[in-house]
Amino acid sequence: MRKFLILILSFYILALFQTSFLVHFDILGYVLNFILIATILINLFENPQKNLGITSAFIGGFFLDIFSENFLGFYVLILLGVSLFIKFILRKYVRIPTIKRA
Amino acid sequence: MKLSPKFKIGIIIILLIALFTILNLTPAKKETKNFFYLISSPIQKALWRIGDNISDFFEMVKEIKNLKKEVDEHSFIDTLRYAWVNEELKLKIVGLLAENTKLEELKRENEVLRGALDIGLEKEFKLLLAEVIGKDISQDTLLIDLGSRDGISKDFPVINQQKVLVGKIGAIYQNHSKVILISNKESTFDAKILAPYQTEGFGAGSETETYGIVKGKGNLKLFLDLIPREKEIKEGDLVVTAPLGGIFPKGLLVGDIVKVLKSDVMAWQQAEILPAFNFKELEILFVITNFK
Repeated sequence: MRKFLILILSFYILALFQTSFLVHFDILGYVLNFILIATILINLFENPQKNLGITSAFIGGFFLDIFSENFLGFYVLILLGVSLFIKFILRKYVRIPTIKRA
Repeated sequence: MKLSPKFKIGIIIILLIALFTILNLTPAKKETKNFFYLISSPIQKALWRIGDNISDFFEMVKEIKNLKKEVDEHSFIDTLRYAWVNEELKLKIVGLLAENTKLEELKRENEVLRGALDIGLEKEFKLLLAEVIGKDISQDTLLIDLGSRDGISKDFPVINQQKVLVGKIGAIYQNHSKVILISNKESTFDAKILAPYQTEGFGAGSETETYGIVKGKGNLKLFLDLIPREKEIKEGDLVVTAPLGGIFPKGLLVGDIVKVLKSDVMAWQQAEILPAFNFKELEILFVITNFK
């Protein structure tokens, strides 16, 4: 529950930061999407069997939808797709070597 | 019965799609967005101002670097003064261009209708002052601090302090509204091209009036389409709103032509337009609530 609340608060602040602060510093007309980057990083570095990445995709996508002109669910579905894809790749094709005790 | 993970994910995605479909089809979407805009407004304004100040600071540093190159010819203080005067003059020129095109419109109308004495004077616009609190470059939209409770309605034109057309009102919430910039891909309106000699008053009102359709290309780019092939247009020609569509008041400055696209295989001419407003400098806007 605590993780969940931290995620909500962090993504809310990130969404505000992105739409009100970062727009002044665009690169060739594009603004860095910190929520997308954060979601990708969480999915990459968490245990592929856990679902925090998917929850973060949902929350991040929701806040991006709130502050964008798209229909609700647009970014949620995109971020969920991205995190499911990362999870799929990590579960199927990536093996993280661990040292087992004899 | 134990469900497989794939089956679970499938069910969750279907449920999510159903939930969002319902949300988008009911007023709940507006209520949800309005709630978040309302609670975020103070933070957004503060972040906006900080971002604006920092961005201005970097712009200034950049300008000073450029100015240092000119120090060979003038003293540094002189150069700074000239630069400051230059900025002011640039703003004045844009303002005067917008004013001039509107005056030309009025003058032409006056010439055509000189005989009709019972015609009333053109009413001034009724304006509402709005502050920009959010920008979305990827979708060419702005968020302003006026909403339905301020008497805002959909499609109201939005201009800046130099009477340059910026866009129109899109989605409206109780306390906020989205402004769809003219460069948004969904934006289309009729426009008229004014050749430089027309804006200078010489030959104004002649039969050389050229109309076209301004289409937003996204990413702050504008495009002028459906210009008759036989019409002569060139870079630097001004583009103003035409009264044909009825969405925008006539004579508002849109921008100037930067590139003419004409080929033998195309039935119409096309042109790229540089918007007259600077996206980064859009802070205070005016919503036109009534125009004739």
